[in-house]
Amino acid sequence: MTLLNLPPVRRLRVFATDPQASSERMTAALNITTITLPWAGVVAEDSQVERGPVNAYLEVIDVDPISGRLYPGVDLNDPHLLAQDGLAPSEGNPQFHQQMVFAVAMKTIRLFEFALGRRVFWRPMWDNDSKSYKSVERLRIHPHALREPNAYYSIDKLALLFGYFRASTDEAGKNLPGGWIFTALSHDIIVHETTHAILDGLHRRYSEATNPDSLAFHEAFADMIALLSRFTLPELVRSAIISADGRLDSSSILSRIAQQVGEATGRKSPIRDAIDTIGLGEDPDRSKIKTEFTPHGRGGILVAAIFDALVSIYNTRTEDLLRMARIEVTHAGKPLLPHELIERLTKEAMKAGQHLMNMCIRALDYMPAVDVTFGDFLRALITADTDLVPDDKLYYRLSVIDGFRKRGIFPDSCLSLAPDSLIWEAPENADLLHVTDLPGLNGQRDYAKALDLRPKFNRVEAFDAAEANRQAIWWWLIGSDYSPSNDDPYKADKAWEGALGIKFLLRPFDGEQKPFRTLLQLKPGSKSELDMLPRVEVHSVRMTRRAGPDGQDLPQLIIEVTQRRRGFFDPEVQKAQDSGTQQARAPDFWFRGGAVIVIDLRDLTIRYIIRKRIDSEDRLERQRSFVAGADMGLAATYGMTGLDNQGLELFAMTHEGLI
Amino acid sequence: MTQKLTIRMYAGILGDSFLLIHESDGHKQHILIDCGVLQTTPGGTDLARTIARDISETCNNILDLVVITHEHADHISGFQQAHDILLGEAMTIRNLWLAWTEDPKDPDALRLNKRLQQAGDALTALDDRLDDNSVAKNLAAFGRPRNSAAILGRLVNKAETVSYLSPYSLHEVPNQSSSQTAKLHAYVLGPPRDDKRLGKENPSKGAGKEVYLASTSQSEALEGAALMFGKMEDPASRVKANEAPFRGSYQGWPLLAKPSKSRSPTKWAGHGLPMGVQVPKGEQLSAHESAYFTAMDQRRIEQAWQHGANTLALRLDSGINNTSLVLAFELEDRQIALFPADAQVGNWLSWGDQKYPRTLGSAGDQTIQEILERVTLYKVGHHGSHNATLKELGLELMTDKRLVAMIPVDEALAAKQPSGWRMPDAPLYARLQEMTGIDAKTNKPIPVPRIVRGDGKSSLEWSKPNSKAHQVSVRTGPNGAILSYDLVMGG
Repeated sequence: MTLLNLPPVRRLRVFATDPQASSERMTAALNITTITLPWAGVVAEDSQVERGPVNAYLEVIDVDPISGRLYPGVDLNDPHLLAQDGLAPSEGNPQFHQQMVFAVAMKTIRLFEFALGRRVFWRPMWDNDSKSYKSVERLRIHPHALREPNAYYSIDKLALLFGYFRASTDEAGKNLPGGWIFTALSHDIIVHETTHAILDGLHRRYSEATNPDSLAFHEAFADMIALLSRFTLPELVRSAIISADGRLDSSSILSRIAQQVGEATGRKSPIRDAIDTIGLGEDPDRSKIKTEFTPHGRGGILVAAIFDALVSIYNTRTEDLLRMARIEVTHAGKPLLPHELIERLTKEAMKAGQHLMNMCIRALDYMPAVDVTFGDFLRALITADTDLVPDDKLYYRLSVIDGFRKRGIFPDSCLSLAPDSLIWEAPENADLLHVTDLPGLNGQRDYAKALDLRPKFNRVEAFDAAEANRQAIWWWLIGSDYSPSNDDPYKADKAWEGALGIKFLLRPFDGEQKPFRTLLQLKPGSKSELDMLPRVEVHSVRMTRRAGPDGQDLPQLIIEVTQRRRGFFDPEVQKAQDSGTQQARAPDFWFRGGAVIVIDLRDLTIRYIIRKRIDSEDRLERQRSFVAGADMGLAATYGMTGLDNQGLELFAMTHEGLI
Repeated sequence: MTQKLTIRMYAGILGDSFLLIHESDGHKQHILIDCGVLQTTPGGTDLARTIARDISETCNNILDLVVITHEHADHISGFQQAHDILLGEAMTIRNLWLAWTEDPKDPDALRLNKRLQQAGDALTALDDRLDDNSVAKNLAAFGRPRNSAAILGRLVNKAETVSYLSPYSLHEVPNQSSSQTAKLHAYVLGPPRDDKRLGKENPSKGAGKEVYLASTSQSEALEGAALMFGKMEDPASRVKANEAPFRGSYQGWPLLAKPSKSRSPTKWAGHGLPMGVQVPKGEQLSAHESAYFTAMDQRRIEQAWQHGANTLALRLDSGINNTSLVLAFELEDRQIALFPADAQVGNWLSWGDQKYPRTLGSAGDQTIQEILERVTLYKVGHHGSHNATLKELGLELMTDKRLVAMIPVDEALAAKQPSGWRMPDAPLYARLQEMTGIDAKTNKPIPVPRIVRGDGKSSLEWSKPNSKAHQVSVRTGPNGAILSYDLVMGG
């Protein structure tokens, strides 16, 4: 029996950017960084690492089908590896690749868990045999899945597939022409793909292309986290500050994404750069948002807006330091920054980056369930931050708004761009929308299981509780609030329908218009009344507990409800199908609506309802013209795109347009 | 001076076969633009031979000009299926026009074709490994026939004169008599020489992405797959692509391609899915690795390369489509008949990159708008697919109210392809109906738009021509089915 305490962390070495930087004089010294993961969390099994590496979240299986090889999984518990922070970074050792994808993906997961105040879960997987969704405990990572200059998150396989390829023989940048390049060794690419998986777990419908912003948001968000997560690496930030003389507003190692893969594929530059303006005072091209429609290109505009905000926040945080040091930072003439100042600037940059990253991640809880736009993201950012940090002393919110404004990204139907007009509205008819009868809280209903809101430390338990809560909320939500004492006994039900923008149809319709037939389930031959109900789906029920900078505790319950309606290209057909004058038929596309309900658990009130109405004809028309005009290339002609994206590697396709 | 151009579109095929008959001042020229039938068409060879016989009878075995737009089976298969008729002793081909991309002496063309060839070879080698319903498999039918080079070679040998055409030029259609006062001319609009334009497959607007021609590394990736499955025999590339990425003790453990005897063959086995690993003595698989190889589920990644094959097949298909030779025939009364073959967006976009001469030998000062606004006959690109007709900078510029659209498509046959090809594309078709649905003189809508479809069924939309400028007549073949539609311009 040993009396030693458990070690606090497990340390693993990784490349801070990619292997290319290790072969250059300027960047070699700072290119190795160490990621620390908790040795034992609150629950032991959650932090155990088996051979692979495999833990509660991830499963690295290193099968390389094209080469016909399995690279056996690394055992990070080997005493030799424990003693030296894991394997030394090396391109030639596949086990180091396993260690790096594992460590960087885990780091990304932890960033999300910290900001959201709860556990990360993966998207449930559609099981073809049982025709139902099944929960997936571990995301798989295959570091050598493809011999292609591509890496992607596969929804079908719930896996990250990384490719490797030979650098271009004509134009390989700083790489060996014809040498092997591994996407699994690019820090950015790993964070990017992991973020896709996390975002998909949180908002399953965001991978549907319903408007020009939707897929672009997925890409932009993945890039944003890849960029902002660099601000957790002091070596990198310090070097950027030194080389740019204390400024962040020019293209640097901090703003460039996937330098090596970019150069190796012959493009002479990184895959993307978050700086879209050259030099000071120059305004970005505002018309780009109206002409750029590729997911990566459009996403780039959003990333640039966020990076712009970062630069403003950094400038606000460091103005006083530079004044005290009596150093004027300009592009002309290089001031020699004292070492102490560099350290302070590094700290401020890291704070700015991490704060902004947390803001972006928290905003996800305030985003609509379907049909997301960049404007929604802006409103979510401002709302989430206002809730947690009421007093915006360092003008974070204004910096963000400014970054968006400069690029012409505006939300729909907002009074102005003032922070308080961007906050999501509280619901109308709030007095009719009671949440005090939530099962298990005040007036529990007998048919529903009580909500379980106790914090769960074990990830499996947390998942089971979330699933049980989801079902409890479903029963609570579709149950009628029929009240015979009211002049209109269905008053509350109607108020809920209005507030959520979806239909329940649990009441008679005298005189008023019946909801669309296109909401009803298409089940030929069935006579059961139940089959004729509009389907309401409770996507998720999430509990968040977040602490603000002044120690405010903000416990919230977030409910995501969606509904789908059969959509048709021909407006006449739509009308006939909506009213039921034409025999029901399979849709041309799914039109989705729904709402996110944010409930403050301190006083059981609804703070916000963020909704996309299922009966909005304008939105339907927008999606229709987008889907009908969507230029998916020849893929559309040859029937590669269908109603469901099954078998279609969506993220592989968006990435190939690029890599 | 009278001039008449009859455009004969052969029907009942998903493919392009057009015979143009030019008449002026008592002289006649016959111009054949492509002759192909989609490979999977039932009774395709018989159809192609019927068409070929009709061509040879009509032109009395003298073709003044043959135009081959690009190397896809649905445009050239007829020269194989009916080679004895179209390329036989009795036939004379005076002139052959090909795009610069087919010129064996053009370095740009050689570079391009090497890339296309490499990608095509890799796909061909993997053919029997591809999922039956995959796009790659599906497109093989549309692809470059294995013997396309041989077909072209025979045509080149057969023709008395061969010309390789570059864009932004104007030519007199060959073999016209000097006594013909009304001449037929042809502008060459594409294919572009600009690599970016050549590779561009998609419209830039919308959810799509811009995709460029298969890069070398993509083809190499597939070659690697082909080699692994022992499907390619070139020893030089075998060594190169079989090379493992890791050396020495880092090479890992070999996958076993065959199932163990105890396991009954599954659908996976047929694809050569590894069923296990050859584990060295003293070592063992982890529990998770074992579980991976035991489960035959959708999470296995051995088939993930097929996605790459599909992408490559699509790019190859559009890459070849973009090499389409695009011709605009001009009559003396300045009407234009536009034949864009299967040109994709990049090709269309390139038309406006430079200007065109107004007369033979003059300097180019004519814009593409000035050409497109005179189009009265539009041969709809790529059987009516959505990305082979550029909208704002293409179709919308064809403002002549007499516009007629001819679509060489068999919609039913296209829909029957395993993944269901969308030809013609519904929104494009609707716009064509609008644009051809107006009476040129009265400016009023007409009951039946001027669209001639090649389905060969009762689907001749334009049955009652309202414009005197055009007349359509339907001809039937030996078996009573519709053989062709003849549309007359001028006269």
